[in-house]
Amino acid sequence: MSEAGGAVHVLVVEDGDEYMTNLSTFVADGMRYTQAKSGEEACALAIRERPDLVYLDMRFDRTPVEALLGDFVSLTARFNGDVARARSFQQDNQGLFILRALRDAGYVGPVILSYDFASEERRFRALSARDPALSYCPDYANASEIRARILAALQRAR
Amino acid sequence: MLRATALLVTLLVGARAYAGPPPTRAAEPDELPAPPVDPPPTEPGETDGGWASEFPGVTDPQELRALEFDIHMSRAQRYERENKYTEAIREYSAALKLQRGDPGALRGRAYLLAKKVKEEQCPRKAIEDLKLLRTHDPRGLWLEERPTLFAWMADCEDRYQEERLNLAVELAAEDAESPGRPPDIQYTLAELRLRRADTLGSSRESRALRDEALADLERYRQECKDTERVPKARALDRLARMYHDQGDTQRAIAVYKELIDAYPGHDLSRGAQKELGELQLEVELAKLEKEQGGKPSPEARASFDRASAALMRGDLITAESELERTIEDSPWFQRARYALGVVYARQGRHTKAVKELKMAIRLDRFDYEAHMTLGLLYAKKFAGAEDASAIEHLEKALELRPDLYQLRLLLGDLLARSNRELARLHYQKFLDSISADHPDYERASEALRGLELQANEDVSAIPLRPPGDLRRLDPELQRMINEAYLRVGDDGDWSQADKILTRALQKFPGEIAVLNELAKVAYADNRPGDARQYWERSLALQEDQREVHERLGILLARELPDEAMPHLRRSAELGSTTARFLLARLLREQYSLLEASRQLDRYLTEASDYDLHWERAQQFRKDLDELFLKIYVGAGFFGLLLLSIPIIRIYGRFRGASLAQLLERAPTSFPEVARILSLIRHEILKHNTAFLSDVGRALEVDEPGAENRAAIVARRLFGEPGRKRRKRQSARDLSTRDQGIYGRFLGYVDELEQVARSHGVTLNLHRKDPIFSAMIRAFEELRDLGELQHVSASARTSKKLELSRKLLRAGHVLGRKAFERLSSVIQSLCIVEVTRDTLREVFNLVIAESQFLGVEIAPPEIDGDGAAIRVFRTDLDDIFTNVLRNSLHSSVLYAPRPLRIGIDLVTEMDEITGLSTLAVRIKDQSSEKLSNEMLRGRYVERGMGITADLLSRYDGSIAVEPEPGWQKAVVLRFFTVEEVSG
Repeated sequence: MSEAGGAVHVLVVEDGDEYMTNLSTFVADGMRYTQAKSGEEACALAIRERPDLVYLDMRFDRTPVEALLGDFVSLTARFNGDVARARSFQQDNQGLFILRALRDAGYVGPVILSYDFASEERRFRALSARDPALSYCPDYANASEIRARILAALQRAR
Repeated sequence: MLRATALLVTLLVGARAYAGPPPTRAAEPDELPAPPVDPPPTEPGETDGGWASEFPGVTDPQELRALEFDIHMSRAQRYERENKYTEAIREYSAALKLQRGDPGALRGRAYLLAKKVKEEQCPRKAIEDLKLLRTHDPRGLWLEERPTLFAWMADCEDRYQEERLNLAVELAAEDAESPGRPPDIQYTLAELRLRRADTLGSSRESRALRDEALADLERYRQECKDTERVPKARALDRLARMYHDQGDTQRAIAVYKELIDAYPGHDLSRGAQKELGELQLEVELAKLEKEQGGKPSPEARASFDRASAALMRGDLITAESELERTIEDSPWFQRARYALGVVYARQGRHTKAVKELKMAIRLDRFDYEAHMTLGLLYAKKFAGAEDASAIEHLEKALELRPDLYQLRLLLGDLLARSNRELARLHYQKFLDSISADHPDYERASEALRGLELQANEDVSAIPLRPPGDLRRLDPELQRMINEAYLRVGDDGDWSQADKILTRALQKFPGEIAVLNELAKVAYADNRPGDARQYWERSLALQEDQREVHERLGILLARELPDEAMPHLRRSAELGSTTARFLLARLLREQYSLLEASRQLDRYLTEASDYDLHWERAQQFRKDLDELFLKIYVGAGFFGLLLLSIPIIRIYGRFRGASLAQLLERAPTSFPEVARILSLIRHEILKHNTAFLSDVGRALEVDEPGAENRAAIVARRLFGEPGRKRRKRQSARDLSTRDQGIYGRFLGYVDELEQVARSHGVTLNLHRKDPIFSAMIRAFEELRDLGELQHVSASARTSKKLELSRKLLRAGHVLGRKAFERLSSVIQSLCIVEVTRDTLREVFNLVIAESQFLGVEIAPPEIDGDGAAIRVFRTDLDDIFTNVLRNSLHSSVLYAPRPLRIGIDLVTEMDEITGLSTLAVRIKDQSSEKLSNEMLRGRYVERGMGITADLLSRYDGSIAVEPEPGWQKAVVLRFFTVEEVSG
């Protein structure tokens, strides 16, 4: 939750440092960023620090596979036993697996998924139906847009 | 007594009968008196008792001796009539023993002895007998027999030369009507005198003899005229030649004409005709020389210059008309005559060419070019008939220009048949003058080997000739030069000639003729350094000396080609074809090929078939052409190679397809393309390009920290600053993942191109794809983003503005627009709406297959709603077909009849990812056991392995699941796609 008169605490969950750098560089005013690089770490931080918002990356291809969340066995079955494809799917959708983990862990705050659901509205609707605090920000969003999304997400959460 | 008288009478009658014509000559006995060949028959007086026993009544020894003489004479005549020459000779000899010097016996024996000598052999004994007549019967038989004696002596070469000459003088002095005086004795006497003169060399006596001979011939000619006889052809020929030699051209012409008139068609007449032409030429020349009094007129000179220019460019018609005009104006213009001869020769008018060239030689006997051209003309165009003339003129040319060693090869060839030794010497000299790499070296060597004769002696020093323009020199100088030449000519004394000419030079220091002659002497004396010095001094006095330049060029060519070149060039400019050819050769040796070719072409234009170097020039042209062809081919190949590099690069840049074209041509590449595009969107764009516009705006308004942000973006895009040095490299070269975001982006571009190649398509995203080319340009434009910090403070503002504009442009291209455009590539492609009808169509096709004919199959029970999935339609058809075929096939074996197949279309949604899946459940009643492993494994028959692969390509899956009311369901799952809104 935003600190009174203080900065908005944003937990940035990503497999690299790009979001952290970008947000702290371009969307810095009134923001405080904390970073997690895996789902497990994100859950721990979310529970411990109760950030005002989680800014969640979707794709985690640089995270060690053992740190990836998701039922890899069932995923492999879904992909005809093709481990590589299953792993790719797991990485490409890791943000959603982390989202589920965050919710399962008890974090209920707003989450912005950095992903462009513009072409997958139905999918987002399905997701947001289950998780109303979920919003997204497209990859191409610039600083002001991100800021606006963050603020809007926080506003909804209130 | 009566018997003796009768016998005597018989013998005397026989003796008188012998007064007939002298017998022809036959074989003679070796000595007089000749021994009898056959035993003679027994005759009166030959018995042991002697003649006294035959004439017992004659007691006076004188009378008996006379009787005996008569008997021998009588017998001799009888034997002679019987052609018993040996016996007759014996009888004559016996008679002469009795009466020594008897004219009748002498004459009789002489004729018989002459008869016994073979034709054309000297009847020496017969001559001796006849000669005795001068003593024993000077006024009788001697006078009669002088012609016979004279004729016999003619067969004895020089043995009776003196006596015969005297006898001829004696006969010639007599009146023409005198008995025994041969009608042609004056001519014969002249020939004898000339023969005698020949043996005496050039003495006064000899000259006197020649003068007397000429007078004899003239007298002979007069006698013939008086007696209305035709003089002998040989006499007339001799007389004409003598007049010619004495320089009496008019008389010589008159006699030649007489000969031609008297003996038409005679060999000597033909020769006379030729000589007559020469003499008439001389007369004309003499007339010209008398008339000319000097140089050609200015008009003639101008016309000649125009002709020379025309000749040099090969315009023979103009050259001919100008030269004819020149000669008409100044007939004594020697160079014009020569040039006209060349023009005629080149036109194939050989007779006229010969005439003009001869005239040129007459005008200047020392014009080596005229000699050379005439010699070549004779050698080449008269089929061997004029080889002697060709040799004569070529030798003259060689005498005048010993440095033109190519002439020796020609002379060697011409002399090879007639004078092998001389030919060999010419070949040898030619080989000595050239190096082993000369084009004619092998030919000359072979010719030399072919001539087996060994050279016995070296070629004697060729005597020098006085220059052709002596008549224009000071008389004293002319005398000195003549003396020098005489020294060389008579004694071969080069040093003396040199001294005389040096004295002449001291006296006439400004006279180029002396310098030129000194140079020739030095050259002939094998002192090339001195020769060069003299020629150079001569040129300093008068520069436009064609021959001097030419000779200097030849002299210097081998050792000092660079110094030879200007001389040859100048000589060629002055009209020397030899210099032109040698210049071309020299240039070729210096590897100035184009210039050599140009000079050679000029030579071929200026020269003709009658030039010394013509054949070599033809071969040279051929060699050069071959060389040029090789060079052109090589250069062309190299040029093509050079040209091909940019062409290949250009082709490489502009060929190939865009991404949309790839997907159109190879739709099956779609899944891989989609994967990479997704990676580009998520890895390249989303973290990195979204803020370009923000940085641009920050720079534009000079926000605090804007430069820092620009630096961060620059590092992210292009890596650490140390790696920016590679910006000169092409975008393709930078396609490595360690070059920042841009490097990774280019890596994906490479990956896309590899995918395309694997589908048989060449992608050109850099040039042909509107999306990628724009993105690459945008990245490239930002390359100097990191340089902002290195820009000086004064320039920083403008740099910021410049970068600001670039960043805003790049942000537009690489931001949302890029996302949307990349998404649009794949969103509209390969989307298939799977409906119940889709499956029904496939089902109907499968049951129509032959393997299911006659099988009772119920209509498919299809239920549920379909969805759109991303798959290539034919692949989807294959998948459905294979699964349905397997279900039916299995049902045929393991299911009750009628066979039933049920299909459910179910949309499933994953709660975590929100992704929808279309599950196509194909149900059957076959009891055949089937597992997921069997379906996905390769061992499954009837194409299920392929089906599994196809499904994997589209992130689909296949599984066997239980199905209520059915034995099982084979479930195919595909992720659904959403229709793009708006």
